[in-house]
Amino acid sequence: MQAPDHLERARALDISQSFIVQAPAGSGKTELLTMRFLHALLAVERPSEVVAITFTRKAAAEMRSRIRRFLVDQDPASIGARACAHHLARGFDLIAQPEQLRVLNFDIFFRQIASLAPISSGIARDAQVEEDATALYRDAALETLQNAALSQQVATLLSRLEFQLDQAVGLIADLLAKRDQWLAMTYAPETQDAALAAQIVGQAIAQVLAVLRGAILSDLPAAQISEWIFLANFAQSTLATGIVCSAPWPLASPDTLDEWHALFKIVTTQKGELRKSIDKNAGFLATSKAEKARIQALWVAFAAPAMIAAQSQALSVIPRLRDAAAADHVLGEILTLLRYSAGNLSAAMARRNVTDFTAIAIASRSLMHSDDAKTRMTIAAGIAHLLVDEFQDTSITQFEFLEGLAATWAQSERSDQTLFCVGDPMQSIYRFRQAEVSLFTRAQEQGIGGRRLQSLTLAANFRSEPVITNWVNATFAPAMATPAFGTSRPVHFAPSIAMVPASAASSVQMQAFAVRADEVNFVADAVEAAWAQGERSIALLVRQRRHAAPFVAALQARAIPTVSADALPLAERAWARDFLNVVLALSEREDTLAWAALLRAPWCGVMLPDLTLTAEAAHTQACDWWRGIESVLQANSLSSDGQARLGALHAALAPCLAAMGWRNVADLAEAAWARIDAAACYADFDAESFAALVEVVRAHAGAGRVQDRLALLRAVQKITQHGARDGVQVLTLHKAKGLQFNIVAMPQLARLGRNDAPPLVRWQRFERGAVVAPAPRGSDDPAAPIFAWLKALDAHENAQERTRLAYVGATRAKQRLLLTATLKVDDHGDAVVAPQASLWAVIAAHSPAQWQAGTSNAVADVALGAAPVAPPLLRRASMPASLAAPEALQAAPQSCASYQNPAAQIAARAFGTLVHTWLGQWGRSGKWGEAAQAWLEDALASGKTPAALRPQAIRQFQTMVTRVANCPHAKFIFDPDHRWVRDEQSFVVTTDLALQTLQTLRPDRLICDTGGEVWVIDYKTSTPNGQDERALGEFLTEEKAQYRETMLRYAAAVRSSGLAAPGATIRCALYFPLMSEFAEI
Amino acid sequence: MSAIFITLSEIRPDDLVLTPNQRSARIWAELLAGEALRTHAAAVMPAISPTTAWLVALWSEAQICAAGMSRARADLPRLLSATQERALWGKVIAEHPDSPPMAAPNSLVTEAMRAWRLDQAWDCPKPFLDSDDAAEVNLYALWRGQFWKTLGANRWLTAAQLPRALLSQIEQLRIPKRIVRLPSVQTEPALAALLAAFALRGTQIVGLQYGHLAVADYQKFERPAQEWRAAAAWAKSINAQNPDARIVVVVPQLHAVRHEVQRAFREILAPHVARDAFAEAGAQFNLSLGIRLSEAPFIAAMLDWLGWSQRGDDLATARAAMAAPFIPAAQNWVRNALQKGRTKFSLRDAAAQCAAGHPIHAFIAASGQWPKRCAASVWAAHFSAALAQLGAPGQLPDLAAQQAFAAWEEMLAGLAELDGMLGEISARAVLDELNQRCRAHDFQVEGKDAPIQVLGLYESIGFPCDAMWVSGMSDGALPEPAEANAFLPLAWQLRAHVGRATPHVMMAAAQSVWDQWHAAAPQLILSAAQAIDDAADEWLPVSFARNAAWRAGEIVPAAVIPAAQIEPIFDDLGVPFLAAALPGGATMLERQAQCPFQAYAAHRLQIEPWPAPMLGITAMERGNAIHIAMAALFGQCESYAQWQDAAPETQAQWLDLALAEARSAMEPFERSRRTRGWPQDYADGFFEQLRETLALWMEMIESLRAPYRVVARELPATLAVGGHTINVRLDRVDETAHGQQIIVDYKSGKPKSLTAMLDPAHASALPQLPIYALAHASAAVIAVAYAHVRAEAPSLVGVGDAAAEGLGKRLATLDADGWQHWLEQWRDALAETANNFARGQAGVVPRSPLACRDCQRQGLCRIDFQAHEAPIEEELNDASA
Ligand code: SF4
Repeated sequence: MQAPDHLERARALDISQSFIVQAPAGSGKTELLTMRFLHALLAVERPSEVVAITFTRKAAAEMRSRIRRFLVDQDPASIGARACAHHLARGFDLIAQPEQLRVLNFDIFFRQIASLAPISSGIARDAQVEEDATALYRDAALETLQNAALSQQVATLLSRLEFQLDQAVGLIADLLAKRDQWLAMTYAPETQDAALAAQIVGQAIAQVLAVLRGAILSDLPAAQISEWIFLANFAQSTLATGIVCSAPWPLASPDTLDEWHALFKIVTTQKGELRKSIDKNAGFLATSKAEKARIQALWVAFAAPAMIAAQSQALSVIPRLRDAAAADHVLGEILTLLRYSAGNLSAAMARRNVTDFTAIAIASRSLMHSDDAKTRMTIAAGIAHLLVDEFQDTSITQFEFLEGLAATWAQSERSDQTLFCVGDPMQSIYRFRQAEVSLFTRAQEQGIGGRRLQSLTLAANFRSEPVITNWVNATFAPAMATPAFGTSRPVHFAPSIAMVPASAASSVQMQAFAVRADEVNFVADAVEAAWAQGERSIALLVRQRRHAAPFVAALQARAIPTVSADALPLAERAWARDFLNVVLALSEREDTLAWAALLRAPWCGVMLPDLTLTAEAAHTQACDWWRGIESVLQANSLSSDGQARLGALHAALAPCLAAMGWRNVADLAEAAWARIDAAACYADFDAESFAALVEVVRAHAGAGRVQDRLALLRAVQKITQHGARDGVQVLTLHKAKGLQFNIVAMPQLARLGRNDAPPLVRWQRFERGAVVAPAPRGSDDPAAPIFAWLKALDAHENAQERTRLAYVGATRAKQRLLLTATLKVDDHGDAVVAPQASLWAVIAAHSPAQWQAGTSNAVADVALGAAPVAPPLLRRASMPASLAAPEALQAAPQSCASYQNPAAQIAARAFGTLVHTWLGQWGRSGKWGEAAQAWLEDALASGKTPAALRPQAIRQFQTMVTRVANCPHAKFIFDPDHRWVRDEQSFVVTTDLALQTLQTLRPDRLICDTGGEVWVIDYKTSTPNGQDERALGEFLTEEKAQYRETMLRYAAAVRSSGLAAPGATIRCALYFPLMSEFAEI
Repeated sequence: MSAIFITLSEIRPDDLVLTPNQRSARIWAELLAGEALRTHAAAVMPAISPTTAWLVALWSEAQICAAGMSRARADLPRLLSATQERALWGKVIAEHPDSPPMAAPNSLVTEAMRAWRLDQAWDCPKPFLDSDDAAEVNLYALWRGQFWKTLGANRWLTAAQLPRALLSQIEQLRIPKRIVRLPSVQTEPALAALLAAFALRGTQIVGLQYGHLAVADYQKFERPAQEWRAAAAWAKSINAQNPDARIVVVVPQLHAVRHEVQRAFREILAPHVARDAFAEAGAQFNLSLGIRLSEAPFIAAMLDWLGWSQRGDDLATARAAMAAPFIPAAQNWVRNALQKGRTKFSLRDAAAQCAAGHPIHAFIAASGQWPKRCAASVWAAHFSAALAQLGAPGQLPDLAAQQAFAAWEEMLAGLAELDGMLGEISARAVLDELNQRCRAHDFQVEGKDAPIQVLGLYESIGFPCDAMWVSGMSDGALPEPAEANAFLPLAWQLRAHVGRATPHVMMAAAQSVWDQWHAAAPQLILSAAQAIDDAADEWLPVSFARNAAWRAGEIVPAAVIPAAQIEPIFDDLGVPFLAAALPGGATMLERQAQCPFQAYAAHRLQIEPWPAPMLGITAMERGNAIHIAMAALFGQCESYAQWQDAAPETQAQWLDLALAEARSAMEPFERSRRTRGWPQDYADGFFEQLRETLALWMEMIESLRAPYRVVARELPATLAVGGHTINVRLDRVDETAHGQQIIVDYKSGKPKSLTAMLDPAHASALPQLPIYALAHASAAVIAVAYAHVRAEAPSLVGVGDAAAEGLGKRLATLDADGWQHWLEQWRDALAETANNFARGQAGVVPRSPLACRDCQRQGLCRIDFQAHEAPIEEELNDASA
């Protein structure tokens, strides 16, 4: 069957044109991108000129392997084979070097861009990217708040937060994470100048009103509008307000807000609901019967009641213009703090040579908008065709980068560059990562950076069966068609046409429950049934990962494996928690909670009475728990069971604790873990995850112990676990994007998303500039109305995104879709509707009736009760199997080094090396000029001799040179007439045959003199302490004794290596160039 | 270059063997020694040197010869060490007028040094400036000019220039008979030219060739860890069959996965080591990579001490320094510091925690004598002396620590290299340098030669052995991606195939690596797993072996840990509390009701969660301030009526007094301003706001109430239930004109739920107000309320008899029976709770998930959040939509 949109698909491959493609779920978007990529490859000289940007690394890897499958196509006429041949001819082997295919996500792409210009971008090439820079953000925020020069601004901020410094730091830190969104704004004129700010607010209001006005004029018949105006004016004249609403509709201007309110006052209540009655307060006296009848008729006749209700709500939050100026000084002060914080952050990052993806994104955007045209051109010239996937989740920073790129292309000599943006606004679900869905429409309508994009829309759905596709179309078309509220328009719903045939098993099922346990069982039963029939493509999608926990437990109880990329944090597994307690206890002896937890872990399992005695021991002696443990063990005051268990723990931990400060705590905790056989106590222990956990601990152990435990716990949360590959996939909706499964269950739909703390400032971009408002201090704060307005706009966007989140979840299903929720039941046993912010609310409101069967019997007989609680058990290893005291450890310190100034010793060693070098060379050339000093100075300056010791070294050296030049021993040693000489000849010998121990020997000089005797000579730079003869004699004797063994070993090596002729005499001697002494051994 | 190849056995004692790096020189020395000793007990060894070291030695020779020949000062320039070169680049970049303000000068220096090396080795055409390149290239050209000038003016030379410089001195140099070159990946043009010149003068230059052309076995795995384990098991079995066999396992990117690889090998080859805190990795295998010196904890601690003396006083540095193994421990100071919300902790603060004889005092005295600036080597001496005062490094427990300490001493001594370059510098500058060196220094414990060598990709090149396993051969591992230098003209780099700039060079390098592996050993296994980040679903090997016969590798199962027998025991009864007076006041009862284990842990075991770092005023201090101020205010005026009647000046005086009292009670807190990283005027602002809050409270809340007067403040009372007593303190008792009494409790947080106060069976029942009502032995009490004294939305929330006179809006009123019933209901509930506590009842039975949210003792009570519902933290803000 030919897809209904095959013509669009064909057009999309025209690489002389730029496109923006709306591709709904299941429409084969990746395939399209791949084909376009291949076509683009054929048109460039270097493969790196084609760049495809995906949303995640995983998506990039998938796309790359897809492209590669085409490249290895055996058919020489195929597009893949042609692309391959094209580049092979130019010296690029795409199959052997797949990294030449630039398929990457924005983070990596920006990193590449920034590293092309490390100075201009300010992003050092070797800077480490911090995935979690929270600590840096907090430090930067605190530094700002401590800045004495900002005391005024700080006081303003803190007074609004009841002087909770911690909260202030947290709020600024949160904002720093997304500073790409606001940093530029803090320098914008409208945030510096009160009058300008008020003007922008006015323009923003006008912009919003214009949208509302447009909807009214287009959705209502002219007759209804003029009737409405007439009646509003009638009411105003009754109330004698002097307000006259102008026809055909008040202008979109803040000056006409009174007229707008007058109009809505007669059709909606304060809550924004359509009126059912009206009275004199609204301007309709009891006597005005005719007008009352007319207004009632109008209410009934309204063509778009939902639109009017929504408009009323939108209107009710629009602030008055006078509010804008009043809030200004506070805003200015807060923005100043933010600006400083961003500055502090950059400085701190530079100091530590780290960065974050936000900094990289800001830098890349700035590069593409910089005045330095050469740099811009250099970067832009490296890209000929840019493909952007998931374009609906592009952030404004990324979009602005693309604008800069397109504009730079326009200035270049080439004209064949193209942009290709693919996405689905219906699947835009990353607002929390600054995704801005309205950019999609903007690009469709206005292009990007002056470049027009041709707009295409796909319709064929190659994934879901008709039942699902139809349900999705029927439910989400109305759900997404929300009336205008702010300036952003609702996304355009594009219906899909199923291309896969229907099967008997296909279904969509909605079911609500009153008790969570019932919901859990229902879903688990359904999954179990499918699993039993051999179905392996099953997914459980939840909004927050913690929502999945009871389902995972239920599936595990049914022996169905689950695979969760992100749904089951390692940190919540008992063994991981226990291991972290070992780490924390070793790191901090004062941490009573961690220590007490060790005693209760299954591998120790001390019971409450013994635990209490230990705690009391520590408490009464005012010592840490370790000492407390030692004291109760000594006192033998515990039960025999407790004594044995605690004794075993003590034996296991003692050496590890003693080694703290010498070894990394990760290694020590691992050793402790092994010594107590801890792993044996957990049925779900998993060695690979354990290894990952140990490495995370290591990464967070500065100076060998854990410093920032919050950062450690955050990092542990992020560990991905390896588990079985086969199993029911448990994923959050966000992680499920781009995936598909035969059966999809979406349980817990009545639960809500994350709770974000209210921000310090809110902002929103409008056509003429940004409106920014600080969090108000109480409802009478002048900033409150604007802040509330922005909040309402934001909430509206969130609500729309919720609908899209439900859409993303539902469209993952190929064959069956199961939607369930547990609804709260009130005291009367009536079902209460799901919270408005839940996905259930979205689905239940718009799903056509035939699918709602399961929801009608929502109220089960069982009243909502507390979840059953497991009995309080201590689970522990039985004695004595794993608790036999571990072997004692030989950790006895081996030596005691005392800290001495090493510089002098090291300098002495360095001096010795120089003497050896010089003698070696001198021996070779036999030449030595008076300029020895220059060489020596150089050599000393390049080496480890402190400047202060150099003059002395030079003097000593000069003396040595003079002595050697006149020394008869030296004459012999360096005689050019020797039969042969070897300097620093290496030998290798076995010192212990059984152990195969090797030793390398390197005598300074070997000589075979004219008489055939072989001399082994070593140079020594040591000198006697005293000056007299006796001292010298003693010194030489000592030295000879000291080196005798070494020299004899040299001699033996010379002999057995065959270097000396068999039977030749071998003699050994030490030569002291500083004293012109020669001592034969 | 000569294309003659020789085999290992043909290497002669008078050969010069050049290796790519120091480590391979060492490995080769061992290897040749092993070869040689097969026949002799001792053997003459050829000279083996890394190429760079050889060039440096040649330069030294040239210098000495030149000096020997001339009567005047030798004119050969001095070779800078890498540290010195780095320092010079740093200086040039920092001082150049065209340098922009720089974010990270250190990395620019690194990048510039790299560019300089390529520039010299490939002889980049000059000048750069007329090119159409990015700002980076132009800037580098300027820096380079200055760098070049400085080198010339000082007669300095860098390592990158050596090959060319030596070429000009070739007459002076001894000509080796034969140079044996180990296979290397790339020969830079400048070096090639030098070698060619040697060849012209008679040196025979030969490459090394091994006899094998292995038929490889290809094995695939799911994950890298499986690969490493399989390789370790394979190495173990070969070693068991033939202890002499030299076995190599190659792990590309070894530096990134060092610990994981070590774990896999240790588990299979030396499982006992895992149990020993001090054991080395084992004699059987050796990883070619060590840790960074700064990762050795006691080295890090020494750096921290030096840093602490210079770089301010943050608590993290203090903690790290005080945890050094050579320092006597100080008790409980970390916990105290955190509880007090300290962010700062100076050396002197620490000294105050330590007894008189503690070495910290000597350290402070020593570091106090340091000059502002001096030569780096002098700093090294100062540092050593001050650390010696501390007792550093203490008893070095093992070989690893001894070697790490020796390396540290080398680092310190090496600072002398900066003496001539930078003159007198600050302690901070020299500490930065020291830190950087310790971070960059790869430290490895030198032990015995091991039969199994685990090597990185480049170290393995041309390493002959009996059996080789190359792991990590998944897609993209070979060749590595090309990367151009940002400071050199891009077009030239691509044209001349400079460094790693083009796919072509990378491909050629990869091909040579590949070929050499195949020639290196008679037995070769190549293995591949899915990429480490697990991104692609598809398994793909490197392109070189895409068509090979890959088979599934054998998975080496983890050692079977015999599962411990786990016994579940009912253990919910602790030690009974025998005294009649129970500890902990109302909080204890609230906790016992919420979760008995929580109450037991907190009030019997005295276990509190580790204090989270807290900035500024803690919640407790805030609450205290409000309590004291309110008590003081109502000590002045005993009713709202009196407040209302007072002149504004009098009201102001009362407020002043209340504030002064709160402030004086908070004096220690005020004194700790510096240690908490306070912003300016923070305390002033806080008390100013408190003053406004009190005034607001009077006008917004007290004004609405029926006339009353305060009859008691801070009144001690005792609750007697179930045969136990619990002491509490009532913040305030008011009495109306009709003798009705109302108990008021001050709170600084958000208002509490009314339903939780009403019903003792509520999931988050709040017993505090009923406790007060029951404890205050007066029948006149007809209401109890929380006074939420806050700047924003203050309120009075509580429960009262319907007859209670005007208490405001947020009061749940009960009729007379209801009020009594409420009290009785609570009395029974509290009696049971108190009994439970006294019995030692400590079950892990949280009444609601919310109990766990605030408790944070999950690690101890071992509640399982997979079976229980986790604490709910759902959103409220988007619910408003
Ligand atoms: S975490 Fe929950 S179950 Fe554990 S002690 Fe605290 S309240 Fe009780």
